[in-house]
Amino acid sequence: MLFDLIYQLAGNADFFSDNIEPLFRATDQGPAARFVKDAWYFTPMAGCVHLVALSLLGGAILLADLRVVGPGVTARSPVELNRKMHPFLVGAAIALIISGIMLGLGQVMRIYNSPPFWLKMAGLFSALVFTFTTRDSVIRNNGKFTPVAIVGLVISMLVFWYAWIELTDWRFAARQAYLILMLLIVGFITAPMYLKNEKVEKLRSLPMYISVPGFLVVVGALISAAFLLARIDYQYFHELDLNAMGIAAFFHPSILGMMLVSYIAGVISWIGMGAVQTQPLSMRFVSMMSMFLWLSVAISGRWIAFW
Amino acid sequence: MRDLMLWLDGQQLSVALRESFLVWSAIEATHIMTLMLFVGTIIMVDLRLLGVLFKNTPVSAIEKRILPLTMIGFAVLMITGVVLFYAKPLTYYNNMYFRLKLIVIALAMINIMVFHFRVQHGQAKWDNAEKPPMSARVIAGLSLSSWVIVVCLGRLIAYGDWFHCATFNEGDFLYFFSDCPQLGGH
Repeated sequence: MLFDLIYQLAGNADFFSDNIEPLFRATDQGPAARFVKDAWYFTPMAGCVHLVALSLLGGAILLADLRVVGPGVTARSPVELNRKMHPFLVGAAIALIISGIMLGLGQVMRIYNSPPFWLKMAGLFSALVFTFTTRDSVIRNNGKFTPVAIVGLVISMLVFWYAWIELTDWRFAARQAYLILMLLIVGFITAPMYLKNEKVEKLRSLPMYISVPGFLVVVGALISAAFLLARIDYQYFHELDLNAMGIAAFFHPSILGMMLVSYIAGVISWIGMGAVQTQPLSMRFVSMMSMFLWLSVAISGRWIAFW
Repeated sequence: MRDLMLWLDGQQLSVALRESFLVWSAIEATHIMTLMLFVGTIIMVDLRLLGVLFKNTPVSAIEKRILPLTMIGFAVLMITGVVLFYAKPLTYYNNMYFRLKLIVIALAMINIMVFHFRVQHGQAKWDNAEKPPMSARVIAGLSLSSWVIVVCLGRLIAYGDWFHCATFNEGDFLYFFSDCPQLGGH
């Protein structure tokens, strides 16, 4: 019922086939798309720019957000770091969008029919709205949610999670991956609430050649275990529709197990990455969410190639 | 060498990896995602060394907090890169871009060593300087450009059909560089 309501509000398949498809078809047959398809060097070059811009964007986001969640540059305040990273973030986002359009022109109808592409677009919209409204505002106001921050949060979360529900089904690994990533984040931002600092410091004082591989192995094993747990058998749910099956699956022991293991992986990450509790929970939440949204844009972008 | 690649290619795990839709794509996606961590953080450290960013922050403060993250990124990139190569050794072995990528990575590593063993020795003198000395800036410039080239070459590996053994003239430099004689000519 709820899903039907959201579905009707946000548009449906007829809306897409009546309005969006002709636009894509026309673009596919237009001069710009023809030029990109004819120029053999164009797509690889745009791909290079896209990847370099993604790396720059990663640097700008990580530097600003890791400062808030803990393992970042502590010599500068979160507000100052965020301000310094702003031009890089904006520049990288513009380069990503332009090179992304260039790449898309080479395969217009393929991306139109690709669920990961639409997930990426929803993620990009959500990431842009969230970063430049909620995240910026909450960091600037030392953890306080202003009306702008709340509106940005509601819009970005609605768009992202609606697209996530619509474009991934319960057997699609992306859905599990996003859930695992979300629980990792929850573990990471809540870990400082109950972990004793002296014990954590003991672990962190291990030499780097032990701690880095050890940390990678433990977190890698936990994430793999979470994926294995998520491979549940849906035979009992097959008679339900996809969304009802999705809700029911949340209460399945293996999904609950996957969530718990992902959460533990988040806590272990907090120990391994040298995070310190210096910022309010709301600030850590928006920073982790911003990293999550941008990472999801990159993941679904990569997924386009496999779909 | 090609015999080793053929042997690797025939391994059960290698076949399973390249035929697995989920594991292969997850590892490849992780490799690309980790670029954001590794190259993204290294760009910021290099920009500080170039005197462009964080001019009022000591270089050591940036290194101390960011380089561990860069190392984690590099470790993940190496692990996923080796697994990706193991899954398709024959595809990569003769790929010109892959070979160039390895060479540029080796050069970037030498550059890091030069910085660590030569330039960094005198860091206490210029740690707080807005603009580090020319030697540090040259190293940072080389590092920045080499990692950008590595990213581009990594992307171009997917376009191996531009330049491959069948398109090279026998006796050309690229013919030998890509080890095409091992394939028995064209």
